[in-house]
Amino acid sequence: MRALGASRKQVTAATLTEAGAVAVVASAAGLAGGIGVAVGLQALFPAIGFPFPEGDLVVSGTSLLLPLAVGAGAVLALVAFVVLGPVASARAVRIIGGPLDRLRGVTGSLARRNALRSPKRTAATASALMIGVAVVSLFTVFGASLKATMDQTVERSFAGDVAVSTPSFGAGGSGLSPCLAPALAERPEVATAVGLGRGVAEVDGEGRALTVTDPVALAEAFDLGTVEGTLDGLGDDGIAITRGEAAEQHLKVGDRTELAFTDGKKDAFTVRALYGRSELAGDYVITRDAWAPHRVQDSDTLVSVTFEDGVGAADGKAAVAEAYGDPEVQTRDEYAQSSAGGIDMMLPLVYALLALAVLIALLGIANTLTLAVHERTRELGLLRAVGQTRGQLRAMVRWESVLVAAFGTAGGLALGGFLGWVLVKASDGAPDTAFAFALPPAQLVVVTLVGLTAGALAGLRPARHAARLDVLRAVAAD
Amino acid sequence: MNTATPHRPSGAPHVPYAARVEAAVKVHGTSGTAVTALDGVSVGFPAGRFTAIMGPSGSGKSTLMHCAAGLDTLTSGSAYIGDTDLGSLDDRRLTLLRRDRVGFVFQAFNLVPTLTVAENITLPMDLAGHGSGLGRGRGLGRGRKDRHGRQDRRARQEQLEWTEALIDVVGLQDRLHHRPAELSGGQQQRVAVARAFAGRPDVVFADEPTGNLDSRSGEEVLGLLGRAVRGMGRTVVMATHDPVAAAHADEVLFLADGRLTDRMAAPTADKVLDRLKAFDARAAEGVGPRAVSGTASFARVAPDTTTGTVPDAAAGSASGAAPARPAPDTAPEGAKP
Ligand SMILES: Nc1ncnc2c1ncn2[C@@H]1O[C@H](COP(=O)(O)OP(=O)(O)O)[C@@H](O)[C@H]1O
Ligand SMILES: [Mg+2]
Repeated sequence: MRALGASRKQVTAATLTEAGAVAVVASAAGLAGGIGVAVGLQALFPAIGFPFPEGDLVVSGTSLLLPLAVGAGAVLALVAFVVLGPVASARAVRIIGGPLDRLRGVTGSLARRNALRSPKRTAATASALMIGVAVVSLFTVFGASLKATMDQTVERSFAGDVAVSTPSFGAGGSGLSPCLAPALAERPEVATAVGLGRGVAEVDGEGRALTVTDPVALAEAFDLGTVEGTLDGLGDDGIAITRGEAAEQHLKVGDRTELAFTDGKKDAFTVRALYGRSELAGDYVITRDAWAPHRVQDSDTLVSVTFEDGVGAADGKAAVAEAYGDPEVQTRDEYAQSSAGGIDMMLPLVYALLALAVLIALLGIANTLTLAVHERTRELGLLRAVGQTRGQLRAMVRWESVLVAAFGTAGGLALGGFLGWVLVKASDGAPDTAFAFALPPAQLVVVTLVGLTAGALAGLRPARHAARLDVLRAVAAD
Repeated sequence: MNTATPHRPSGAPHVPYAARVEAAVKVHGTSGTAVTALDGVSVGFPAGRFTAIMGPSGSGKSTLMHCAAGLDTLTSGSAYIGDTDLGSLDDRRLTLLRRDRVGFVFQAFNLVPTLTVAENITLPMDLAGHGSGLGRGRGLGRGRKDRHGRQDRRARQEQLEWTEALIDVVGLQDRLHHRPAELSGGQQQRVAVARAFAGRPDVVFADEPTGNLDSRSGEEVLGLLGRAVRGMGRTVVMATHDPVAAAHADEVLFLADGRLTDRMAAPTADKVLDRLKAFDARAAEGVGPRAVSGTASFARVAPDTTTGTVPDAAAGSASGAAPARPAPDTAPEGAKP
């Protein structure tokens, strides 16, 4: 008995250690991933012509605070899960295991009841997998949401056939010449070409991103929704604002508002137009003339081009490339793809994380089951004595393992999904972003299958061990 | 070997044996620590009869039962259930044979703690994938193989009636949905008996089924075994070192040091006790073959150390003087045909 007590303690300790290790690794990876996401955001948003405030401090502030807040929430949720684990495991196993009775008869029934024997132990055993799956699904959910947000943005607002963007994702630095867009517009293959630059100014004391462009060309190239007022007469003292932002600032067409620029100058602007869609255009649009006195460097970050009817994508692309020496010219699909590329780059990291978590969880489950088999030696002998075949016995142990893993996986998915949702909602509240929440079904299915497979694998060794039991010795064991 | 055996199954083909062993030898352990638990035993257990195997602790009773029931394999010789030679079966077939054709009642720990009484009783049938219906309400027995044709449905109905009759006899109707832990030791053994008979096996082996019970519960269990044979036509083989228990049987076989030494038909506790005393006397004179140490302890009936039993004053005393126990010669009478 003492030996059993000791080994039970050992297993608990081992499980806790494993859970701790996963937590530490996950946190580290989470932090790295978080920074990666933040960096990615900074790089990606300007790249897709999303005017980002140039004041880097503001950006870093939000991008650091956000993961921190979410991290604190995650820790709380984890603690709640550990405390509620036993209760949850009993309920969850009963529900998840329900179909087993029907599908696998006595074998399934016995497996389910064995998993229910010690809800505390089941919960502890499943926790490593749960944490791993939670972290991974948090990443995939957040990644998918980010991607969905970008896709949505591009879909809604990318009116052009190809986009010309700066070759490197550097902030500021080398942009596209403001002459490029008009030059491209001259070409016979090109119908419209609009260049988008970015600027920043304080409106009502708060930093705001400005889109510097030719408003008429902008309206031709992008879908701005319903426009109130007129975009063709902004001049050097006119401004166009999204309807939502205008409502927040209590502005309507004809009102005046003061913009404080980074060079310290303040100018009064008249609101000449309100528009509906902000995705690529941003919340504030001013003309090049209005921006010229305050500019550090006159450049566009993106030129969006549409071709004349009958001009194929390849021909058009070649024409644009010819007009501009070394451009990054992309069709709409390529453009959307490259915008989301950073997120896909995260996936290998996420799957590596999953593999690590699963490996650790697998060992934990196998350990606990081996111990359980040892404790139930006599009962297993009895089952064999009254006619349970070796195959049935193995299946029973394996199904118990799968049930424990299923509980861990389900808990992890729920936890990760929830945290992902919280993160997305929190990001949505940040300025200049309109975040969409998305669940990536394929990836979540992969995570689920991996979790369940881990359970099946973890059960192999204990099952083989149990099936090798000498029936008589087992019955006679004391 | 044949000279030492009271009867030889192969020489009497007209007697239908539910189970038998021929020239059974079982050596436990490896050469250094080898123990010969069975030393050339040939014996048949007639169908429809209640046979008791008596012998002191360590005489090989459990070994004989295990080998005859397909729980253990013989070192040499052969064991049969009906006409099936157990030696010819692989592990899987042996398991299926135990499930479908043999019942076993151990001294203790007969029940699966996570299953209810009803589920424990139907466990072997549920493992076979055709539940009697009792365990089915709780998920047991709803196996995939549980798709029955018309004929099967009739068989299932019969099985259901049999199980219900069995539960009636065992008297556990109001405990069907309890867990074993909620039952007394005697109730648990009664459930074990019901489980052993539930699949209507060729033969039920009971190894000291009353060894852990007080005399009253023990008497109930013995009564059940007797009724199963006389009222329901089942076959029972029971190992015991208690003359009172042995008196419930139709015939008693005496085992000492792995050999059959004697047999007695229509036993009573007194007659069994007298026979044991006679053994002891012979052993004291040094007449006993090579079973000196085995028979020397007979009258005392030492605690069964191999099964880890704590000696029970009432059950362990062969004197029959335990106050709670009914008079040895009257107890089994009611159970006789
Ligand atoms: N698994 C085993 N390993 C070694 N010796 C054993 C084993 N099982 C039984 N024996 C020995 O075989 C002999 C017969 O044991 P057993 O059949 O249990 O006798 P009984 O049931 O009559 O007490 C004893 O000497 C016992 O110690
Ligand atoms: Mg014994």
